[in-house]
Amino acid sequence: MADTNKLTNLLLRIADGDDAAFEDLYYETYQSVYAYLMSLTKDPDDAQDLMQDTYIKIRGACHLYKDQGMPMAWILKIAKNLFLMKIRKEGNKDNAISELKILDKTSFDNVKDVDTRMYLNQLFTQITEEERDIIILHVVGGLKNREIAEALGIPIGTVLSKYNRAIKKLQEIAGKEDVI
Amino acid sequence: MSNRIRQGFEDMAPDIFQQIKASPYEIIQSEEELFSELIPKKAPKTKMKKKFIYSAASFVVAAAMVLCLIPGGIGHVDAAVGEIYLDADASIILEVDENNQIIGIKAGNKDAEDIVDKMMKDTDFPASISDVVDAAITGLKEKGHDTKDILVSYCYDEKKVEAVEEAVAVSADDCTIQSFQKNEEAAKEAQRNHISMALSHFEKSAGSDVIHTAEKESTTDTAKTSTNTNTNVNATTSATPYVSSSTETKKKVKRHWRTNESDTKETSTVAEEKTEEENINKGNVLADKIKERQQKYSGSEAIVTSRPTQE
Repeated sequence: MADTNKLTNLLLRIADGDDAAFEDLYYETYQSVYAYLMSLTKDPDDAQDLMQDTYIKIRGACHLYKDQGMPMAWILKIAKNLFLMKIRKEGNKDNAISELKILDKTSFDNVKDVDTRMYLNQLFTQITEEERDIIILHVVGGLKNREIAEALGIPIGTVLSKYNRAIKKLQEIAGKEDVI
Repeated sequence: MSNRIRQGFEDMAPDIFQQIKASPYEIIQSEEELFSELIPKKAPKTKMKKKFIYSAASFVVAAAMVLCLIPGGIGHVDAAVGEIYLDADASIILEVDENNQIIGIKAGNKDAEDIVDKMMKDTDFPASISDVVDAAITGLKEKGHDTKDILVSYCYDEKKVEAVEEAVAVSADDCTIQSFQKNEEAAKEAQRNHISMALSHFEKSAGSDVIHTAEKESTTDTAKTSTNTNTNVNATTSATPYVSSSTETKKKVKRHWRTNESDTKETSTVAEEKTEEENINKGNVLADKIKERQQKYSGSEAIVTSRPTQE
């Protein structure tokens, strides 16, 4: 989970043409960006393609970043915009197709641990899309509630309530083995 | 669980930095270009002929008049069949319709006005009970109330709806929960005392002498209260609060009250083991707390109603 000030600083340096900063930004954030895109696309290949596009956009748009203390939310907003563009270009693919993709458990083949694979499967099948986005942004992205609200374009109260509900659901499913 | 999810995505995320580095990029000129899908586009202005506007308006007026005459039409959307009260120092009232949806939110006192204002902005009516109860609890927590100090009450008109009670139990499982049937006398008494009907009911049934414990109630299908006497009064009650016909619901509905002084959590099972003396003390603390609220809100303004406007 990347530090907000560090990310802000990296974005400003990239805007000044610092390639090393771009590499640092990538390694600080790519897992969160990928997780978020996985949540949106439910497909590893689509998520990878969009992640590539996201970083290319970031490179060309860093000068537009206005420091409001939420660099990660800004990055994820770019990712979401690209996802929406893709959906529009592909003619509003039916959600059912995406759901089928995720039911194919090979999506999580890269995950070594069996339990972890099971948790991810539950994350993608047992809770709603918005709840999943919130959990991923919080747990993987380390975003604060207001950043999640900004990234998803929903009120902070909704973030809080949906987060609590999603955790309850996952805990119930996991048999209350441990706590997020 | 969080570690596993994080670890899972760490394993999954491919490192494609070299590909990205080798890809050409363009300088983006504006935010509109960057967030083209997220920034709402202005709708193009359309020119409508006056004649068409007049006929459309006439049609809308006629349709509205017809709808008003039909039972279940727009004149009938406002039928609340139950209320959910959330009482800390701030009091919030949620109105439930016959479809078990929240159709209105009221501030029971001034303290709750800003919470309700915010909730009104964030809520699309009709809304699910869980969503709104969660939002209300969040609002109360933001005001500094501990969930264990929040009393959540489900008040029903004629028939209790298990689904509503269960939704309340699930959404507010850390709070003190009660359910009771609405009656005019209780409503008047609450008004007289300048407190919500839920608090009034809680006071009347739990009072200064009687503490209700979930464990004792949940073992029976009839109304029971554990009765504890203090030094002066032999207190028994014939009130019928906290009665649930569903055993499952009853199990979920934990009722506990954390006192200001001892800061201890009383769960149903622990409460059963408490001595009589402790229960008397607890009853006195609870009574003090309610009296304190009565004093605080005596003379306060009438309930402020916030409801979605009907179009």
